[in-house]
Amino acid sequence: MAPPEIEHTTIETATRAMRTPPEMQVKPRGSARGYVTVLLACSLGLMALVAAFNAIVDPFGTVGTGLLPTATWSDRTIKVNLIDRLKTPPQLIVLGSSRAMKIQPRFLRRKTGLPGFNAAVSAGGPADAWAFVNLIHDHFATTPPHYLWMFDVEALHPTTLDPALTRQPQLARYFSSSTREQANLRGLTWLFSWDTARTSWHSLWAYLSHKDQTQNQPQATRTTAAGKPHFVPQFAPDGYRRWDFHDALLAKGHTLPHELPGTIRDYSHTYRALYPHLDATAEQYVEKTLALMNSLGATPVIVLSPYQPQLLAALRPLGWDTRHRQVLQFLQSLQARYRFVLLDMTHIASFHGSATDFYDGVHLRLHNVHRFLTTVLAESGSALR
Amino acid sequence: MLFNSFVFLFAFTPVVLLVWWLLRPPTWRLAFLTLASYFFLGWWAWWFVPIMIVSTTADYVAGRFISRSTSVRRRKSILAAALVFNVAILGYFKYRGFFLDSLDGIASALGAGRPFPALSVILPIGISFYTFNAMSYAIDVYRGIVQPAKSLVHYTAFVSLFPHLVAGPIVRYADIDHQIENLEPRLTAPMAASGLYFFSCGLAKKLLIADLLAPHVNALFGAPDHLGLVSAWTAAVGYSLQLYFDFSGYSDMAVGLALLLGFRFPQNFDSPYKSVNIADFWRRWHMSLSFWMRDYLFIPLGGSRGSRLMTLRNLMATMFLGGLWHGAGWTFVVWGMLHGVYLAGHSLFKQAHLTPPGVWVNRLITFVAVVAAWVVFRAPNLSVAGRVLGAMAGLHGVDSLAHLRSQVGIYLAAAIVALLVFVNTAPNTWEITLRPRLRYAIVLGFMLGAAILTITKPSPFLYFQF
Repeated sequence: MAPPEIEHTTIETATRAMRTPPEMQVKPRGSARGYVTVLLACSLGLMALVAAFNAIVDPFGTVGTGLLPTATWSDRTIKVNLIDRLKTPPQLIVLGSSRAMKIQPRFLRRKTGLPGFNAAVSAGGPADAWAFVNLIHDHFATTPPHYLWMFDVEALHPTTLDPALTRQPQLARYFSSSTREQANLRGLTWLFSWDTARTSWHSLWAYLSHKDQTQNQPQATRTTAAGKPHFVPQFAPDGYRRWDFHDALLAKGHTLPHELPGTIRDYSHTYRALYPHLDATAEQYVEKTLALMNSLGATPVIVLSPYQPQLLAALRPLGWDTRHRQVLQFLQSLQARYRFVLLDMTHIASFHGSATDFYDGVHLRLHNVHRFLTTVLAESGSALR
Repeated sequence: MLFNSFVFLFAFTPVVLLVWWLLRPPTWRLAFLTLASYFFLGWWAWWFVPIMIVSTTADYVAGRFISRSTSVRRRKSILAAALVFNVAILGYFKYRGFFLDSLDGIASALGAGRPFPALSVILPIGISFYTFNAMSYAIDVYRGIVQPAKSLVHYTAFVSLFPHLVAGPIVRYADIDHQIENLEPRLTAPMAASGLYFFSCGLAKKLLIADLLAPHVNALFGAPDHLGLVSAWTAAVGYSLQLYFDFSGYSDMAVGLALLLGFRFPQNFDSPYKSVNIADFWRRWHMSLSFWMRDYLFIPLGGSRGSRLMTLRNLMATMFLGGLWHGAGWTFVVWGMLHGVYLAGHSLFKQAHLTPPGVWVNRLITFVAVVAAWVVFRAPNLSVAGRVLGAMAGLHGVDSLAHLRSQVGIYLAAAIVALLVFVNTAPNTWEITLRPRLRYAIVLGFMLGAAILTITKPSPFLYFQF
C-alpha cells in the first residue's frame, strides 16, 4: 500500500474530493429490498420486545397493567393525599422542588405563628406551583394564604410537564386536555427505553425473589396500578419529608464529597445541553401563579435557591451567570405587574450558610435550612407574617 | 426537532417520505419538501421560519438580478448587497450578544460597572449553515459557476432541505442543482438500503458512542482544578472522540436522510484522526466548511499566490473567521487562530524540510495538536482552557491512583483506548462497500433499534449551537 501523501500542500492546492455517497452493490447476488426489510424488522422487533417487557412490568405505572407493584412513587400523589387529610387550613404554603422539601412548616410556625404545609415536590416546577396553589385554594377557599416559593434557577429550563403531574387526577384538572395528552404521550415514550428496561428488570427480579424493593429506601412507598398510594409515615402530615434518600445515602456513608461530583455532572449537562434559554411556557406558569396568588390577597415571597459553592463554581463558566441574570430580570420585570417579594439566595453567604451542610450540590441539610429560613423571614418584611 | 427524537423518527420522517414519493409533479414535490422543512425548523420556534424565508427570498432575487445584469459594476453591487445582507443577519443573531458582552466586560474592567443588559438572544437553529449556503449561491451565480435557480421553489427547497438545514453539510447549489431539477422518480431499493445504512451508522455514532462519552467528559471539564496529567488527557481525548462521533454521526444521518429523499450530499468527514498533517486534517474534518473557506475566503484573499508572508496572513485570516463562524466567543476565536498558527507553522516547516519522517509520527503530532486545540474549543472560557492545558502539560502533577479510579475509571479508559484504535484503523462509513448480506442487515437493524432505545432525554448535536 502506498504511504499516505504528506507532501506540502496548502488549502488552495488541496485535491481531496468530496465524494457522493456510495450506493449498495446488488450484483452478483443479493437483494437490496430484502436487506431493507430485514434491517427494519430487526430494528422494530428489538424495540417492540423491549417495549412489551416494559409494558408488562410497567415499573412507573404508565400503562396500568397492574401485574406487578410499581417501582416508583409519586410525591405529588402523597402531597395531594396529605392535603385531603389536613384538619387545619394551611396559611403558609411552601412551594418548590425537592430542594424545598426539607423546609419544616413546624419551624416556620414557631417563627411566624402560621400553620403551614410543604407542597414542594420532586422536580417541581412552575406548573406544579400552579396546580398546588389552585388545589389548596379549592380546599380551603376562605383561609388567607401566604406563600414561600423556593425557586430554582433551573425552574425555567425548557421541558414538557412531568407525566406524574398530569396523571394525578386532582392536579390534572388544572391543565388543558392537550397539555395532559402531551405529557402522557411522553410517559408512553418511556416504554421504548433501555433505562426503563433496566428498572423493569430490577422490579421483576425483586418481585420474583419476594424482595421489597423499597426496603433500603426508607422514604419510598409504592403506588398500586389502581392509583391508590400506600400512605407514607416518612412524610409528616404538614408535607415535610422527614427522611429521604439523601438521609439514607448519608447513613450509608455517602457524604457531600461523594455526592458532589454527581450533581456537578448532572447540572453541567443541564447547562451545556438542556438550558439554552428560558422557557416561555414555564414563564407563563410563573405569571399565572403569581396572578392567582395576588388575586387571593397574598404577597408571595420568591427565593432563588442556594447552591453549594463548588457546584456554583463549576456551573458559572457553563452559562449559569447568564441564566441567573435572565431569571432575575424576568422575575424583576414581573414585579411591575404583580406583588411579591424577591430574594436572591443563590450564594450561601446571603444567609450565612455553611458550604458543608449540604447533602449534595443543591439540597440543604437541616441546619442550613434553618439559617436560610431565618434570613428569609428577616428579609421578607410582613409578607410571611 | 432533533433527528434523535421519537417525533422525528416515527412521525415526521415517515409522513414526509410517504408524501414525497407519492407526489408526482416536481414543483409540488419541491413545494411540499420546503413546507415540511419549514415545519421541521419551526418546531424549535416558529419565528425561525420568517427569518429563513426573508433570507432565502432576498438571495434568490439577488441571484436573478446578478444573472440578468450585463454590467460588471451592477453585478458586483448586487453581490455585495447580498453578502452584506447575509452577514448582517448572521451578525445580528449570532454576534450581537457577544459584542455587547465584550463591551460590558471592558466597561466592568475599567470600573464603569455593567452598563449593558444580559441579552437573551436565541440563535436561530442552522442560521450559520444556511447563510453560508446562500452566500455560496450568490457568489457562484456571480462567478458563473452555476445558473440561477429555475424558480423560487427550487431555491427554497435547496436552502431549507431539512437533512442539512441545522448542521450541514454545507451543500452548495452547484452540488445539488441537477438533482433538484431532475428529481428521482422513485426510491430504489439500493438507494433506500444506502440511506438506511448511513442513517443507522450516524444514529449509532451519536447515541451509542458520543452520548455515552458526554457525561464523563463534561464531569472532567466541569472540575478543571481537579485534573492531573492523566485525567486532563482523558478529558481532552474523550472530547475529541465525542465531537467526532457526534458531528460525523449527524453528517451521516443527514446523508442517509438525503438518500431516502433521492438526493446525494457530499462527504463531510474522511477519518480526520488519520491525518498526517494539519492541512490534511482540514481536508478530512468538516470538509464542506473547509472547502467553503478555501473557495470563498482563502482564495479571494489571495490564497498562496503572493509572497510567503501574504500566504500566512491569508491563512490566519481564514482560520480566524472560521473560528468566529463556529461561535460567538473568545474560545472559538483563539481556537481558529491556533489552527491558523498550526497551518502556518506546518507550511514553514515543510518549506524548510523540517517535518519528521514516518506516517505514524506525523499522525501522532497532528492528533496531539488537534486535541490541544479542541480543549480551547470545548472549554467554557479561556481560563478553564488554560487550566486544562496546564494539567495536560503536567503542571498540576500526576493523578493519584485513587483519583484516577474515581475521576476516570477503568471503563472510560478502556472505551477511549478502544475508540482511538477504531478511529485510527477502521474504515469510515464511506469506505465500507455496501453489500446486501443478511448478517449486515441484522447487525445494522439491531444497532438502529438499540440506538433508538437510548432516546429518553433530548440530546442536541454539538454542532447545533453553531
